[in-house]
Amino acid sequence: MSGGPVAPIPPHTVRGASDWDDEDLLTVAEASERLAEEINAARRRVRQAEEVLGDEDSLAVGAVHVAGLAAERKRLQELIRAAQRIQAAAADGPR
Amino acid sequence: MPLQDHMQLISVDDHLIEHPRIWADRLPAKYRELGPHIVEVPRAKGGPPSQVWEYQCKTYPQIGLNAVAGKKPEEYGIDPSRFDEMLPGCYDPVQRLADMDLDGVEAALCFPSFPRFAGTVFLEGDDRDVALASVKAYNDFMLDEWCAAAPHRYIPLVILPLWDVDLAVTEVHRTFAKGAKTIAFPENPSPLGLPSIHTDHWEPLFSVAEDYDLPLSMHFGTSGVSPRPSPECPMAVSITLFSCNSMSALTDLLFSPVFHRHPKLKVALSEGGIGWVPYMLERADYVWERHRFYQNVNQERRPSELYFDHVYSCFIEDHHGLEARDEVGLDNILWECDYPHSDSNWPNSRKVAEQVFTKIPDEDVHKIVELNARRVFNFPRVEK
Repeated sequence: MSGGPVAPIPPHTVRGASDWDDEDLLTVAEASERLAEEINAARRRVRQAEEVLGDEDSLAVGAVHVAGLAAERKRLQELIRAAQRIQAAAADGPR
Repeated sequence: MPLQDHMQLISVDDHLIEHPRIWADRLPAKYRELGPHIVEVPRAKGGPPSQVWEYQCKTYPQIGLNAVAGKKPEEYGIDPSRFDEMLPGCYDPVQRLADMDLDGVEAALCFPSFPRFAGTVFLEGDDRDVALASVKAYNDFMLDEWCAAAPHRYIPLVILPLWDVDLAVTEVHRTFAKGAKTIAFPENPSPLGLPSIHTDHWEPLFSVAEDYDLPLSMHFGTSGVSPRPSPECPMAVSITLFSCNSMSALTDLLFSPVFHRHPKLKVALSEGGIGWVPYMLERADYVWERHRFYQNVNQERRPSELYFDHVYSCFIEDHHGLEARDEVGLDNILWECDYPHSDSNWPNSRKVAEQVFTKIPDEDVHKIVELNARRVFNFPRVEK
């Protein structure tokens, strides 16, 4: 059934000069920017949640906000730790 | 909220960047000079030199599948081009896991980068012994190092020596025994100078993939050609049309003998989106109804039946496709996030997915983000 080994056409003879694949990689710099934006956004949300909670009269609604605030604080800590982790790992990357 | 906490996100289209020692650590000494290794070349714009791959005396950029054609290394212009500029999760499987945790992604299927998404770099070069050793070394890295870092979080995908179908079959046997779950295969081998799927050439490979229940993962672009209607058209045209490669691959498959000869073979189309699937199936069935009688196509089964039995399509964000999910096939849709390519939503893939699935019923979401992938790739959940 098998036709045995074949001799492929060298790809550069059949392709155009342009890349088909525009995809590029997340750089450390780009990832850091994304994380910095996320950290700032998370800090804003934490602050807003703290303000709402401070003004909250209803205990029932307050419980929802407490849970939300805890989640935002947890996410903030995750993001900060990720930024530190990536910085350290990049400094230790292959040379 | 349709994306519930207990639903695990499985991305069926991520990528890894090969670290510098993959081949240096695994190739026999006699092949190391010709085998893949990193060299440094000056950058046109100055600064630290670029780190590029050299294989059989040709240089290749870190990414940009076709960037090498007609360009000098100094002109690659691909950024980043040094490992210390990349996100460590690109090349380090443990760092990747931490990035996935932050992103809310449980498991990932990672395609190669320098070897290209179906390993077609190893079709190049005159020395087939070096090429075969390089393919095996990549697969050993994938199975013994990358996926071994967290076997329940990485779906092992292997590449093949595509120039020799008998060697390819042997490599499938070898890697299946080591835990491979899927095979990278070009979306269309013909433009690469390989026999097409309409010939008998690939029968032994498709048979072994079927026997082992190893889906063929066909990433768009792996045929080596891209949609480019005009020589002068901006890249935006090609980028917009990339999924046409998956449409072409699917249509070619549905009218080929492949699924009739291999009733259990599975194909996963990677990064092609899903919104176009209902139209293409409608069109293929229409053509089959009217034109099958005088052509060498199967007379018994509609193309759409074959699709639902054999083919899986994936998406990042595709509102049309999700609205038409019943026609795409609820059991045929997979999710992807495309890390570490810069158009991924990292570190917010889960948050974006929550928005994407806002109006989709829970049970549908669970199938799309997790259950279908676990079934297709035989990748059961491991309770922690």
